[in-house]
Amino acid sequence: MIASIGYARSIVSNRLLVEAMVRRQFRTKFAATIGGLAWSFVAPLATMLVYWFVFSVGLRVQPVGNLPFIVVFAAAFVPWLTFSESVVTGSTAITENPHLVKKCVFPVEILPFVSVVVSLVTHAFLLLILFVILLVNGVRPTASLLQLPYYLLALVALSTGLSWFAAALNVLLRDTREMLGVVMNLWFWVTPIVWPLEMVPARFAWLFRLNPVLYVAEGYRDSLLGGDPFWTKPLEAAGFWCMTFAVLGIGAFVFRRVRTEFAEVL
Amino acid sequence: MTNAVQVRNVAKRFRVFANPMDRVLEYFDPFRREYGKDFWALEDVTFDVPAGRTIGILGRNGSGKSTLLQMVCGVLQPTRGEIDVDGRIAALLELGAGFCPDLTGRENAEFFCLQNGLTKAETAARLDEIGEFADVGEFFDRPMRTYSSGMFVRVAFAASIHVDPDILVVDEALSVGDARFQHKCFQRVQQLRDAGKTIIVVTHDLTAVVRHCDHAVLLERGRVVDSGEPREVVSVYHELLATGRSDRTLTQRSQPRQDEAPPPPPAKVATGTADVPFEGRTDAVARFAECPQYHSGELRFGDGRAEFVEFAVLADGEPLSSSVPCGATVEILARVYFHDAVEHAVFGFGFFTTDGVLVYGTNTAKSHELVDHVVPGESVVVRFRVTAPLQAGAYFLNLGCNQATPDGPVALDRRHSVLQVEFESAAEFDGLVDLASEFNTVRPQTGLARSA
Repeated sequence: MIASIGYARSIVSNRLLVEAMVRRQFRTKFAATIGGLAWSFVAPLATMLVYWFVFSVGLRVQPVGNLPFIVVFAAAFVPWLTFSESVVTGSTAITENPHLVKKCVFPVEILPFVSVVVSLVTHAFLLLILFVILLVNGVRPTASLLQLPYYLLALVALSTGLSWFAAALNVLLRDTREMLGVVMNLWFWVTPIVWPLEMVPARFAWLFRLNPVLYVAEGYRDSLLGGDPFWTKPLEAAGFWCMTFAVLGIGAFVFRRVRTEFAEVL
Repeated sequence: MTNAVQVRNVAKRFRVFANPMDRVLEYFDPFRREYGKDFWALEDVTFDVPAGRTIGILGRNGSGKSTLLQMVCGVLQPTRGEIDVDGRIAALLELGAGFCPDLTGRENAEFFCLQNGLTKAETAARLDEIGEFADVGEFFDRPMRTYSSGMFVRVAFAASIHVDPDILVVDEALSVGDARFQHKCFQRVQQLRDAGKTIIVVTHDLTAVVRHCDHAVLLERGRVVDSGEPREVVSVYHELLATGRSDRTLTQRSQPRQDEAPPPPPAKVATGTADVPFEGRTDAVARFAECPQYHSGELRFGDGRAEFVEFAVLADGEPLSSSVPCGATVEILARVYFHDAVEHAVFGFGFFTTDGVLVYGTNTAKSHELVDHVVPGESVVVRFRVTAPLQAGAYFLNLGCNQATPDGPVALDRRHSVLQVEFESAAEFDGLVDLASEFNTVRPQTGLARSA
């Protein structure tokens, strides 16, 4: 926990460097492509279309309540995409910058966070597309939208904690990134994003509620589709933040523990 | 004087693992079992870097120099011991490390400034200075992957010396770019020194160490083997390179030559003519101390199969008693006694200034005069004749006898700074060598040419 507070401080005091680093990541990522930034949301968009086609058109999944499937799905899928992207790219944040680790005086703890911020830029574009989908389907924004920043913060906190953990582990064991691909895939399917939580028998539902991503996904649905405000779900909120602070604490602790090894292993 | 950097009994251990999984296992093993082997890169290293000084760290490849610098910068943690750093460090552990080829020179320089703790305003103020110093023209605003390697290092170096650190740590970077840029770099380093910055450099450019450093530290196999006045440390390093020995038992190093009474003038010095030097002696008795130019603070090493036993210095054919008159031809005579048979003996000499700069050096291999097959008990007299229009002052001579082998030279008897010779100079000039220039000034208004 102490480690994570220290790292949070470091992020604040190095915010100029974070900003420069984010810009730099973007330039490197799209340097040689013509599509540039577009590529970062073309792929998720295509995935969304596929899911929509398979579930809505192919499997004829019924509208959820009075909302079309695509709307309910996309509202939760967008935060999931960002979560998964930031953790997967965050896991290689250290291993892909050996020069900064070995040859420079550099606050490396900001690197996983930089990956999270980079994913947030894609996230902004995805949100734009999401609004278009909502409007096309006749969903008007309500006052609930005001709580989106809260859930966004929740998403960032969770992703950052996991990124610290994954980035540190990936230094010791390069298989981490590959394993993460599998883990993320499984995680996606145990999270009620393409399927409704109501499908699960009520006595097992709590098991799925332990998943912190569900809190964020449902929060996005609440914000975008006019659901309840977040303070009406204090139990879920308490559960989520306990877990997230634990993830942040463990992530920062592992990162700090392994950090001394970074320069030696890379 | 306060120390900018204090290194106290520092040791660094690296764990070597047969496969990456072992490292993870060891890391998380609840019983703290060991899965790897130790490798000690540094052992018990202690030295101080006083604030405002320039320190050179010397050593062969793998001697632990870079590991040491990485620890000073905080990139690596020492396994044992302590490193205290007082002040902000800018590190140039590898030139252009952390520079991103997709960004422009300006953007990379900006990143570097921010990384080294400058504020946005300070960074903005320095960017133009950096561009100007690097002198890459409009390339400064183009992606660095389009740069030539020379331009790349120029921008990297320019950035690193403009971030205004208290302590500048440089690993092998001062010898970048063309001569003009190098000169600029040295000027800038000089400015930093004058501004009271502390500089720690690792370099293989020994001349630069002697010229620019106040102090030198020699590392070998992770230990400090010598530390002190740069010229002397450089000599020990030369010995290390030539013999490959890290112990100093071979070195007969006397105390620095300060205020030492010169050896009493011998009764007879090289009285024979140049054609029959040393009175035709061929014995193994060492008489070199009889030579008035002999410098007892010499550094001597070699495997001893051959020995310099006698020296003589002549100026215009006469034994030299004081200083070399201006424009005189200097002859250095040396008799080498061979205890063992040697194939391909090579003799060499070199003139050094008092601060260790090589003025001129050559050897018989360079002039293709190998002396083949010398038998035990044989003497070889070597004569170097040179006209040296040098700046007035004292010069040190190195004499050496090597055996040429396919694997490089093997030192038989190397004697660094073995002779001290004073030169006179009639002409007034700056620099070391009189290039015999001529001036011609013309005043077009009067149409008169005057020569000076």
